[in-house]
Amino acid sequence: MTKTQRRFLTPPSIIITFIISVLGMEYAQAETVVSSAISTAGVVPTKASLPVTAAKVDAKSSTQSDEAAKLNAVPTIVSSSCMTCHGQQGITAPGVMFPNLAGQWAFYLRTQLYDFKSHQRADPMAAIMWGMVAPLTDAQIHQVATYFSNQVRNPGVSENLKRVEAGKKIYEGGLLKEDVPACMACHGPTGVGIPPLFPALAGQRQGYVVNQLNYFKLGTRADDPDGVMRDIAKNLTSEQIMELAAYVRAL
Amino acid sequence: MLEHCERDINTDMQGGLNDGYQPSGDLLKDRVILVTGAGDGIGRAAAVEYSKYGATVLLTGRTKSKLERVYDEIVGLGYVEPMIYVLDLAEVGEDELMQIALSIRKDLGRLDGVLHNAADLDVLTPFEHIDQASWERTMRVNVTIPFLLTKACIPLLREQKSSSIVFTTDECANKPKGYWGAYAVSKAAVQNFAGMLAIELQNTSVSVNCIDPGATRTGMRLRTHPGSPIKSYPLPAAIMTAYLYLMGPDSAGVRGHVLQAAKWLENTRDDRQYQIKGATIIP
Repeated sequence: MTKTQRRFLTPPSIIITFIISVLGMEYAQAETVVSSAISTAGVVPTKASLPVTAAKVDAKSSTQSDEAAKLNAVPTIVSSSCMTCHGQQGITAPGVMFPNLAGQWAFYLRTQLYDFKSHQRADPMAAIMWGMVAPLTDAQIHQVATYFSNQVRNPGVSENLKRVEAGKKIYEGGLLKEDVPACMACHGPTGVGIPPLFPALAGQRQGYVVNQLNYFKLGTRADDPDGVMRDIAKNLTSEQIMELAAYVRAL
Repeated sequence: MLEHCERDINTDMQGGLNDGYQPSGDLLKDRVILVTGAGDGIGRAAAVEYSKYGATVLLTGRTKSKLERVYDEIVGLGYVEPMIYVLDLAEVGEDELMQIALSIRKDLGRLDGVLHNAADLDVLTPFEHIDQASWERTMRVNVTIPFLLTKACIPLLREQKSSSIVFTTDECANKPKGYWGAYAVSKAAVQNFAGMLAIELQNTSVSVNCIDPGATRTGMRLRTHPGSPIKSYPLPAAIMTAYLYLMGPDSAGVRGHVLQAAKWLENTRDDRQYQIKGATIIP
């Protein structure tokens, strides 16, 4: 038996190149699809339409469709940890405090994962995520964010019509006296957000939205750029927060 | 998900399941098992044994030439062809360990078991003589890196229907003995870590256990007990029954246990001419 015949595990340096070549391209492709859709249509596309756009692009070449298949394959890290709370498709169980991730912008998801990693996002629930994110490599963070952003968003449900109506007024018109701008201005009239900075809210769990607005209000969640959400939330009453959460859930 | 912090599994078994345990020939068929410290001693015996029972073993160790020798031995015996990764636990960092897990997925497709066998033992000496570098090296090789390697491998292990993590402990982990230094402290830590993992992973497919190999005819024994007749200890190959049992599917449901490998001796492979009975050897 000569040396060359023995089997050696692939050295790490080659693996890194492999990940960058696969994930980096997927990421670049997904971002291009989003930005071209925005520039041509002039409106922010809903996330549900995104995979369709991607599929059209894929039909052009088989290599691209292979990459799209990889894009939609469930990453191990999702099946091994994320899905326990966030669901395999990024939809959480009703009534829990964990957010839906399906259809959220990849950039926003990635930013949050890094904020958890650096403990910059330090609201009372964030510690759960600190531990989850700690072992993730950059490549895995990419992978997870891309995966969940490609899932179909949770459809809206109106539960308390009175609250939904009240929430709609604040969401679309703001509160002049209290110096609360219209949520719609940044999160879009249909709640899909504006990439890259402003997250999608449509269909989000009420409990999560209420928690986050309260955390912003109290300043315990302080990872919002320039404190924009803290400035807004501090002027909201508890009832208004409930109303907004109900409306966002209905979107 | 934060509720599984109570100990509700039995972690007190001290072996004794060995009555006539006969592993079937294809016990580890198609499995992939990572063995640390596979170049010599117990790790080498385990690698050969696992290959014999059908597993593809990823041989890891510090010295490439030793790993190649084990590799050739396994291939020469006609067992399942292993794979080599040269890994110095004193030098490796978390990033490399994560990437090893990725390499395993790419090259071998799966991982069914990890045998944490490698250990560092500098020298038996009064504690005032242990320097910081030696202490930290031992704690790193015996505790920190096994922890990080486990962390890197968990996603792969959880994908399998039944998978095993086996840690190696020592009598001195439970029974303080003089002069054993960082080695004893590290083994106590490892045993605690294994119990903790067993509890945290009790609802998963991953079972975590410890083996105390006992006195075995290895290089380490020769260094800790230089004056004692080395041939009075069993060969590593003779204590492999416990290693097979914990790595294979027969031990499904066995979690958080510490097996005494000496109670699982395979008499046909025990070539000792004489034994020192009841002797307590103080170094």
